Amino acid sequence: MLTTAASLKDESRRTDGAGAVARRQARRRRAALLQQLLLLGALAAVGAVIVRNTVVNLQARGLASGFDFLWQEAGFNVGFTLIAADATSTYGRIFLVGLLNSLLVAAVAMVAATMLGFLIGLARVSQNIPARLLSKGYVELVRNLPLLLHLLLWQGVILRSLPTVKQAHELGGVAFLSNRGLYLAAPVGWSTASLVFLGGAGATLCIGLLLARRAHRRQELLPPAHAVGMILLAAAFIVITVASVDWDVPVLGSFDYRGGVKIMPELAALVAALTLYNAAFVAEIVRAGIQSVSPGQRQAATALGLSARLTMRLIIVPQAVRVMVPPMANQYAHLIKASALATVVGFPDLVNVFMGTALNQTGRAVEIVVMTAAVYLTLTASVGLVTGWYDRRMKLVER
Amino acid sequence: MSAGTLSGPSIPRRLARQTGSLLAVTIRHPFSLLVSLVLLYAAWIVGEGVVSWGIVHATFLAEDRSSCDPAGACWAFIVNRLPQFAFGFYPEQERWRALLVVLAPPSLMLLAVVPEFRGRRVIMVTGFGLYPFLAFMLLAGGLPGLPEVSTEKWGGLTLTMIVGMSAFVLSFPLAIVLALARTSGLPALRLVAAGFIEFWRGLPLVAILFMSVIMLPLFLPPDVEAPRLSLALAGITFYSASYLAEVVRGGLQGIGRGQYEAAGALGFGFWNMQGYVVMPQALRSVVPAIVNTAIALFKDTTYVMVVGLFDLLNIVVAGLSDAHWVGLAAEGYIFVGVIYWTICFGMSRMSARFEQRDKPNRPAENTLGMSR
Repeated sequence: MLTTAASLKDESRRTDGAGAVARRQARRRRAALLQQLLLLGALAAVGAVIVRNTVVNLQARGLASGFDFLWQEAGFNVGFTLIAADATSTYGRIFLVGLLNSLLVAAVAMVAATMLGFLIGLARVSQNIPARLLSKGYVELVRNLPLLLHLLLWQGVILRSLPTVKQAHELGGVAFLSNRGLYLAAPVGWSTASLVFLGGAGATLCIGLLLARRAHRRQELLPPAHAVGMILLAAAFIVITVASVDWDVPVLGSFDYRGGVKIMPELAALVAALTLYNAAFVAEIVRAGIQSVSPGQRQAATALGLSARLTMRLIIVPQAVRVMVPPMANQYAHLIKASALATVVGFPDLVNVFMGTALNQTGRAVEIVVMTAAVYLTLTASVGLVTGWYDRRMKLVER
Repeated sequence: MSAGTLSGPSIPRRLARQTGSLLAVTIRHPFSLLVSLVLLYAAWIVGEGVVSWGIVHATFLAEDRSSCDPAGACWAFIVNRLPQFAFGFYPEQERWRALLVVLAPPSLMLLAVVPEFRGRRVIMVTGFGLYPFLAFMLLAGGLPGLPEVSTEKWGGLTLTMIVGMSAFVLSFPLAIVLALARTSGLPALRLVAAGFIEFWRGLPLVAILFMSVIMLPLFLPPDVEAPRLSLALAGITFYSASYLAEVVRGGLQGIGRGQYEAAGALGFGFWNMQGYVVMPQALRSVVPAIVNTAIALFKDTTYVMVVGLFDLLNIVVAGLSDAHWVGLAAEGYIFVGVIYWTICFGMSRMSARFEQRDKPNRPAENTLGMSR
């Protein structure tokens, strides 16, 4: 643009034939090339200074570099893991543990925030006055407070409302709730038979869903007898599976429960805060989406005799969703990034265990920061890709 | 408003009609009525509890926790520690400096809502533009008459203001350059700007803050020692600049080709064209989005807690562990919440006001820009 402006001025001054125009265009191209080369050169110079400084600084602090630490033993325990990990695990595995924990938090909060946000967003445009006022109050209250405050608040509320380990709530003898977390009985000792039963349950459900889908496409209903039969069969499979595996039931030790699966209260606080905070933003997106559908659509649906509920479900929401996709993608990306706040409440997410503990222990600042940054950039970019794909699909359906 | 009252029915009548029709809708559907009643009841229960706890049974003045009424809130905790929450660990006899730093942004913002007067724009732009530098100089001291105060002693609302305002003001010019670069005709420039923006936008602020505190000292020459506050501020500034750059780019996309061509035909150079023709229109059209970014940034300043800075939220959290005031988390969080909510809600109202005020002026502003 720099060159265009300059050359426009040139052009107004002299107009001497086709040769001059060609010469001017060539000069413009040369100038543009020179500007870009200068920029890249300057960037390379800055980069070189940074690299030199980093090397000098790392040497001065006696820090090693390289990715070999990923195969070294980490020597610390992580409070919550989705895959088996203990003090003998490598840093590579710790990275994986943190990544999975981050993904878990983000995924659960994403689903919950979308559902709650939809509900609040529909209430925002509902005809019911108290529902509209309260949902507006909720949105204005929640989104004008920092997420971190929500998080600390929920951590305080959840921790204080739960009893100590000694007085843990017992839920049917297989789950125990205390301020250290929710302890659940975990299935162990899977035999081949139990795996087969589990597979049977899954297969039954899949077949049932396929049949229902086919019936729906033909605008029929699945015969009730078939549906009930399918559900009963799947339930039977699940019951047999549950009975055929061994269960590791948590037992109260001297300080804490042992065995089973432990769900940290920090996870609950984190998911609650992320859900409630993002739901307010989702609600506004939903409201804007619904209000973007022209009133003629609703009037036409009413004229065709559709009920208010069906109008919403079949006419308004499908059209509103198309408008909602890009802002929702932003909100999801925001949510994924916000899950890194886990480190404040001490939930072992990627930033906490990898950029925190692992970095402090190994001192491989550059490597660890690059890996963590790469993960988040990939995650946020993939949200963009997925919603882009969904957006295109929605557009095709329209025609 | 005034047009409505002139042409339509009077406000009380209109209100009555609207209330009547909405009431009819609410009552016609029994399920809807039930939902209304349940919601109203829940709101009443919560509201009644809050008033009783927070005002009726609350204690405002006390020496410590034990002299507070246990049935209500113990606001005495906040009252006793208010100076610390406002100014952090800033030396007591120097607190007027911190007070100035805290009061400057709201008073500048008040200027934005008062009626137009000569030089208002100049005062606001220079005020906001110089704020980070003046505030830093005033707080850090080291000049004759101003004893030096190290950045570790800065805290509370003062630090929140400094971080939020500085990051926003410093990121603004950077954002404009980035947006121009990203829409430029030079591919290398476009690529570099896009890479920069997407990099900072794709990372969590928590990770950015860790990175700035860990990595920036490595990048700097070995003999340079930067305080933690400056490192964190650098990270937040890049983060905020990337978001703002996308907002500005949105504004640039709304400018028609004709504007550029007309400016070029009138002999404007690149920077004059941007300064007099393009930016005034582009920025004006995205004022609400800019304010939204500012609100988000202000809320995000609380993240500096993760690198051990004592902003308003962190200093209140730290105060909660005081042995004399045990178990007052609710009071502390509500106090912080009220301050953040007031500022953020106020800013969003202001943005709505701008949006409304600028709408009818739009064509007139355009001709004004051309004639200058």
